[in-house]
Amino acid sequence: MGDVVLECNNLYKKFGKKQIIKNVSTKLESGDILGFIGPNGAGKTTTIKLMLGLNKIDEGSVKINGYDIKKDFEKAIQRVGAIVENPDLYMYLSGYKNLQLIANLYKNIDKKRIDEVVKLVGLESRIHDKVSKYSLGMRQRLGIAQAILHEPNVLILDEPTNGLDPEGIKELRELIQKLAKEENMAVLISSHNLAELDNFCTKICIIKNGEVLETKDIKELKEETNKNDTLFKINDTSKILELFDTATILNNNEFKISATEQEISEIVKKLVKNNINVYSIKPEIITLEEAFLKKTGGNKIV
Amino acid sequence: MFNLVKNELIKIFSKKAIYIILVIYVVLSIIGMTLTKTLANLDIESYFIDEQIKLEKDYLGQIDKSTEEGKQMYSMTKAEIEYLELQKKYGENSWQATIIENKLHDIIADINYYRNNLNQYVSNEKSLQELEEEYNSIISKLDTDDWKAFAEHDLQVAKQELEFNKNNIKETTDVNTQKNIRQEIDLLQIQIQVLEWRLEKNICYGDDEFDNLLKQYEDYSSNIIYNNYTYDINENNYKQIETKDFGYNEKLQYQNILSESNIARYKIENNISGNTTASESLQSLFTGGGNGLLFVIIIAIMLTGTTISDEFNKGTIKLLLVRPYSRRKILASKLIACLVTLIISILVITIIEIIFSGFTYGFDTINVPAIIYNYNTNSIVTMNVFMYMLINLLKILPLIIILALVAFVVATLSANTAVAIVIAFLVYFVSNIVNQLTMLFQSKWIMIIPTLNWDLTQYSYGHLPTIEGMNLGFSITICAVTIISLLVIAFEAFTRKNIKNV
Repeated sequence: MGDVVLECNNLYKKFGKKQIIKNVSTKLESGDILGFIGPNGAGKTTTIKLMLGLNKIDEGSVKINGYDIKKDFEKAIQRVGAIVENPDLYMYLSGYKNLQLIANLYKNIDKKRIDEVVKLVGLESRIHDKVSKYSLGMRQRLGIAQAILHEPNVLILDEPTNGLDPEGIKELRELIQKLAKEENMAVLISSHNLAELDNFCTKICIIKNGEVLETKDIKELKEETNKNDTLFKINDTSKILELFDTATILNNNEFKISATEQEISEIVKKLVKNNINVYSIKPEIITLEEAFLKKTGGNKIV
Repeated sequence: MFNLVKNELIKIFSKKAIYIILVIYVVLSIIGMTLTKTLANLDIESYFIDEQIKLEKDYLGQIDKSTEEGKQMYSMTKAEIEYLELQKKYGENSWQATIIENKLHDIIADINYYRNNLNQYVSNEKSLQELEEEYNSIISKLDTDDWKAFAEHDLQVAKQELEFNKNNIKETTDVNTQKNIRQEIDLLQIQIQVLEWRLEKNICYGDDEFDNLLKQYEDYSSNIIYNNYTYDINENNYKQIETKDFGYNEKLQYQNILSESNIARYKIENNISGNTTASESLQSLFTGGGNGLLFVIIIAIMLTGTTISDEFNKGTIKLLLVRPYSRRKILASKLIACLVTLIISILVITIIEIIFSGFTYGFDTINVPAIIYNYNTNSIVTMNVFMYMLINLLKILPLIIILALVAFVVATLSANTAVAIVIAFLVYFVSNIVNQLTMLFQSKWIMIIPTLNWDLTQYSYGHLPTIEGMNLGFSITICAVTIISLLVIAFEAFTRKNIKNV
C-alpha cells in the first residue's frame, strides 16, 4: 500500500463532562478507502471534526500529510477535501457560484477544472440553478464536487450517501473507487449503512461508544469472523446435537458446524449412517453486516 | 486573504437584506420629500386663524356682561376678534401681519376699552380720538404696501433712544446705572443693526427665511448681552469663569446661543437662506438625529450580526473552516467585508440624499458651504459640505464601530442572529437614556462609560464636552479600549469554538 497520509493518535474529546471520544487511533494510506462504521452517536462525526480541526482536540494528535492539524492547520488542511454531516452549501447562490467561491480560496483552480468536476458529479444541466432548488441528492453531489475541486489527496466524506437514490449510490461508489485508484486518493467514508460499504471499502474501522473496536482489512475481517463454518441442509435436525456436540442448530432443516474438508466428509458419512437425508452442503458466506454485528455484540445498527 | 474578503463581499451582495434596507431608505426619503413639499404648499395657518376666530366668537356669546370682570372679558375678546380678522384680511404670513402684531395689538385693545366704558383699563395715556387717528394712519400705511416706512420709523426711534442713552451715561456717576445703560445701548445697537440689514437687504417683515434669520439673530444676540451683563462675562473668557450662577450647564447654553447668533449673522451678511438648502439636509444626514446615521447603524448591525451567525446556522461555516486559512484570517476577512459594504452603503445613502434633497430644494443649493462656529477662535468657519460630512462621519465612527462589534461579538458567542441584532440595538437605544441619566450624577467615574465617549462630535471646534472634565484624547482612549476588547473577545471566542452539529 501507499504512504500514510492521515494519522490519528490516541484522540480524546470531552463535551462538558461527557467523554465522547476515547483513545481513537486510525491510519489512512493513499489509495485506501476506509469505511468508518458505527451506530448513531458512536462518535463518527466528532472524530471527523477532530481530524479537520473543526473541534478542538483535548488529547492526542492528528497528522495530515505530515503536518499537525493543531500546529500547522493551514498546511495540514491544504490537500483535504471534506463533507461534514450534511452537504451545507450557500442556498442563495447557484451551484456554480458555490464552486467558484471555493475555487477562489485555492491557487490554480480555473474554469476548466470547475467544469470538469461538475461533469464528474453529473450536475451539468442544473449547475446554474440556485442550490435552494436542488434536491437532497443533487446537493450531495455538489457537496462532493466542492470537496474534490482542489484535487485533494485526502477525502473525508461523512455519510455521503444520505439522500441519494440507488443509482446515485452506485455512481458515487464508482466515482470514489476511481478517485482512489486513479488519483491515488485516500478516502475516509463514514456510514451507518453497512450494505453500502460491502465490497467497496478496502479497510474498515469500527467505532462504538467513542472507542475503536477494530481496524482491519475488509477481507481479513470477513475471514476472521467466518472461521470455516459449513452449512448443512438436511431433512431433520433433531438428532444432530447428539451426533456432533459442536454444531449449531439453525432450524429444523439447517445446522452449521466448523469443520475442515476432511471433517466434512466424516460428518456426511455419519449423517448417512444415521439415516439422515442430506440436501446441500455449502460454506457459510458472511456479509459485512453480519461480521459487524458479531463485533459490536449484536447492537442493531441499520 | 484578499480572496476571502472578495468571497465575503460576494455573499453579502448575493443576499437580499442589504437591498431591502436601502429600498426602505429610498421609500422613506420619497415620503419625507413629498411631505416637505405638501406641507410647504399647505395653508395650515389660514385654517387655524378661521378656527381661532370661530372659537373667540363662540366664547363672546357666553360672556355674562353683568359683572365688572365679564365686561372686561367681553372687551378683551372683542379686541382679539378684531385683531384676528385684521390679520386674516392681510394674510397671516404677510408683512402687514407682523406690523399688526407689533403695533396695532395694544391700540385695538385700548380702543375697545374706551368703547365699552372701561377707561380705567386703558394702558395708554392717549385719548380715544388720538388712538383712532393712530389706528387709521397705520391702516392706511398697511394698504400702500410700504413696509419700509415702518422700518425706517423704527430705526429712527431706536437711533434717538441710542443718542439719549449715550448722553445719559455721561451724566451719571453711579456704576450700576452706567452698567444698565450700557446694556441698553448694546441692545439698541443690535436692534439698529437688524433694522439696517432689513432696509439694506430689502428683507420684508413676515414669515420668510431671512426674516426668521433676523429674528433669530436679534433674539440670540440679546440673550448673549443679557448673559454678558448678568454674569460679567464675554465670549472670550466664559470658559474660564467658574461662579455659582454660571456653572457648566450655563456654559453649554451660552455656547449654543453664541453659535446660533453668529451663524445667523453670517447667513444674513452673506445672503445664505435658512434651512431650505440641499446642503443643510446633507449636513444633518449623519448627525445624531439624522436618518442617514440611523440607517448606517441598521446596516452595520445587520452586516456584523449576520455574517458569522448565518454561517453557523446554515452549517456553511464547516465549508469555510476546512480551507487553508486560519480562523483569525476568516474572521478578519468578514470584518473587512462588512466595513467595505458599510462604506458603499454610506456612499449610496449620500447619493440618494443628494438626489432627493436636490429635487426638493434645487441642486444648486448643494454648493452652499457648511457654516460652523469655532468656539476656540470665536469666529465662523466655512467648509465644503462633503468635507463636513466626511469629518462628521469620522467623528461618529466610534459609535458605529462599537455597535457593529457588539453585534459581532454576540453573534460569535451565541451563533444566534436575532439575539445579536436585538442586543446591539438595545445598547444603542439604552445608551441615549443612560447618557441623559448620567448627566444628573456628578461622579467623575461616569466618564469612563463608552457610550458617553463614542460620539466625538461633542468636541467639535472647541465645543465643551457633555460632561465636565472629559476631553478628546480621553474619549479616543476609551473608544479604542472598548473596540480592542470587543475584538479580542470575538477572535478568542471564534478560534476556540467547537463547531456544533446543526
